[in-house]
Amino acid sequence: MAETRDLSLLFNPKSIAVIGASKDPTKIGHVILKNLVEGGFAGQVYPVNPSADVILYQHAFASVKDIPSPVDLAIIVTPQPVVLKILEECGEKGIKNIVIITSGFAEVGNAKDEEGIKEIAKRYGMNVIGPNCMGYINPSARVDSVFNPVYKLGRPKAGEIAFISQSGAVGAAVIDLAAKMGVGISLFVSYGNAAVVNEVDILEYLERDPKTKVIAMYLEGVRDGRKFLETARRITKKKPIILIKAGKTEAGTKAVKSHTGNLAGDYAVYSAAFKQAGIIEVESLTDLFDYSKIFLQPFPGGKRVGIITNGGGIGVLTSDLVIKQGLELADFNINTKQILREKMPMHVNITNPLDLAGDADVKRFELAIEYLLTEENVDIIILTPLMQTISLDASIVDLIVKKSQQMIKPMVVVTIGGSYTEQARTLLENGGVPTYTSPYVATGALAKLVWYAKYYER
Amino acid sequence: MDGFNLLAKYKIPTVEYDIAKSPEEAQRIADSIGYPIAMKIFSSKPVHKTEIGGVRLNIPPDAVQQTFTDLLRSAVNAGMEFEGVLVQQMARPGIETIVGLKQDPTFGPVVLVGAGGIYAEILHDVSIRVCPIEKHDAYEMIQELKSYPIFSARGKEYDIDALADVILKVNSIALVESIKELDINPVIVHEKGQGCSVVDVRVIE
Repeated sequence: MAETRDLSLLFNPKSIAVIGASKDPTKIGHVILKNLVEGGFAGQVYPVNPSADVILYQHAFASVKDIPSPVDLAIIVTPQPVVLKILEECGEKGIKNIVIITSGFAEVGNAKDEEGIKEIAKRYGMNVIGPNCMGYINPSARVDSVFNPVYKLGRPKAGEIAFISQSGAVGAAVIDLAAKMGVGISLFVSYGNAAVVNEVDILEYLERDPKTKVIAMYLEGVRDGRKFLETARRITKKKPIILIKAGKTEAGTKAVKSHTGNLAGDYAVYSAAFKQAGIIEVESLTDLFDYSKIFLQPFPGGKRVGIITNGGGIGVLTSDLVIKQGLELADFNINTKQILREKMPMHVNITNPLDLAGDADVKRFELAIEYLLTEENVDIIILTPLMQTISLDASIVDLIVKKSQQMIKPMVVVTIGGSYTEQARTLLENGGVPTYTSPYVATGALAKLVWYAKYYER
Repeated sequence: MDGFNLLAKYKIPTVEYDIAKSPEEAQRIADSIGYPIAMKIFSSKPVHKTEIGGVRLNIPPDAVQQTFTDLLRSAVNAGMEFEGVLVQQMARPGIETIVGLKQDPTFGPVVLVGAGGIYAEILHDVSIRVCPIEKHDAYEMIQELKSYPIFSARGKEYDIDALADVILKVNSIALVESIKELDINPVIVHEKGQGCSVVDVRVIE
């Protein structure tokens, strides 16, 4: 296990066989094929099914061995009893990369067949994802083995956050959420039982993947803690890892042992290891992407926050949370104050939070953003525009997106409101602006960004 | 006495102590350590000494031999094999902490420092690291404790360097010795420059 697995062909195949492809639209073997064919995958797709000639207008093969050309990736969705035989045939065909969606292995106590997978994979030098998983989605390569139909489970656009999940169901739900939130992903992998390819192998692939800037992870447990710690510690020096750990509570009572044994429970040790590896641990699934997306912002030079708002109350609430999260409120320098004083109407107080008042228009916001972007005493900008006012028209979205894309300083938006605000939020998020519905999450994420910027420099 | 021998091997400072097999021997040891003295049932096996009435504190010179007899009776009542009585110097004042190690099934050896007494368990005031750790980790562990401000409160500074040193020595024990779990509890941290002293230790092999 010492050498690194090369997973580039696994995640970027030019040809895919779907073994267990089905004509029946209610079968997952149909959904996967459909998602590949209709999802715009540019390479060859080969349905494999012993009793069908044509599926979804694609010529089907009775066996993977009948396919005349080489195959980069096989997705296996057959019934459990034939999986090992199929895997062997893939080996004979020379297919090196496999995703086994089928369940019924170690997760139900069937260790024998799980061992069978490992043995065949080792003999043929295969990379196998699964079994008992959803496989992966690579939006830029248009590969998608997730068996939930597109109308039920949204697919995120291509982006720079990779998401790896030990649970298929949780992973799929989070992916759906990410799609709705407008967050882009570089890769989603559900790795199931990790019989062959495990979380460390996938992390090592993402470490070198130029499309991935941030790694988000849902984890229940690892097999080799030391290897995980060592790998994660190396990766966080280059890319942040944001993680949620499931299974935190200790089941049952324990036999009498030492205080240390009781105090250093399984989760407590995981959490300590995450900290030592520089991993950022979050507490909820929504936080996973809310925290991940902040890391696509430029790193801040410090922790002094400038707040621009058109609602006094939200500005004050945000200031409280800035302090609570260990950040600081910036003290604008004298020049900025003078210029803003000259340019702003008299009823705008030139302080931080900078409350542009309820009659603020987009021009006033533009002026404020421009000055705070160049202000040397401000490291981070939080915008809290209340979209409901009559003077603030929809072009505020374009303005913020344009300023954000200059990538001068980390800039986040907190917008609170109903469906009109929700639309603005989606447009901002699609424009790459990290947008939050609460100042609590925004400041929490910013505090982690500040922490990581320092950790990264170390 | 495995635990105390282990501490001696790694030069982890303890209060002065010895083991007495008879009331007369207890008197001799107590006289040489100085008063007041603490006396405890000694056992090489892990037991909750307090729960069986096996711990007596602040004993004056004229009560040493009677205390020995009382402790012997407590041990017999608890069905223990009597191995002797631990005669210990009463610890100088300081902040009580716990330092320990355990073998974690996923990550291997880990070290722990926590607030002493009931605080570690009730307030969960502990800090953990996977071994090996370095000097800066030991200091970070102490600084992470919720009770950390107590180490420099009310115009008193406590000897954090000495506590960090114990944590680092436990890190060495974790890496070298084949021990499942270790509790050094309490480690009493004295004022700055005066080090710390261990009062009790438990080893699970």
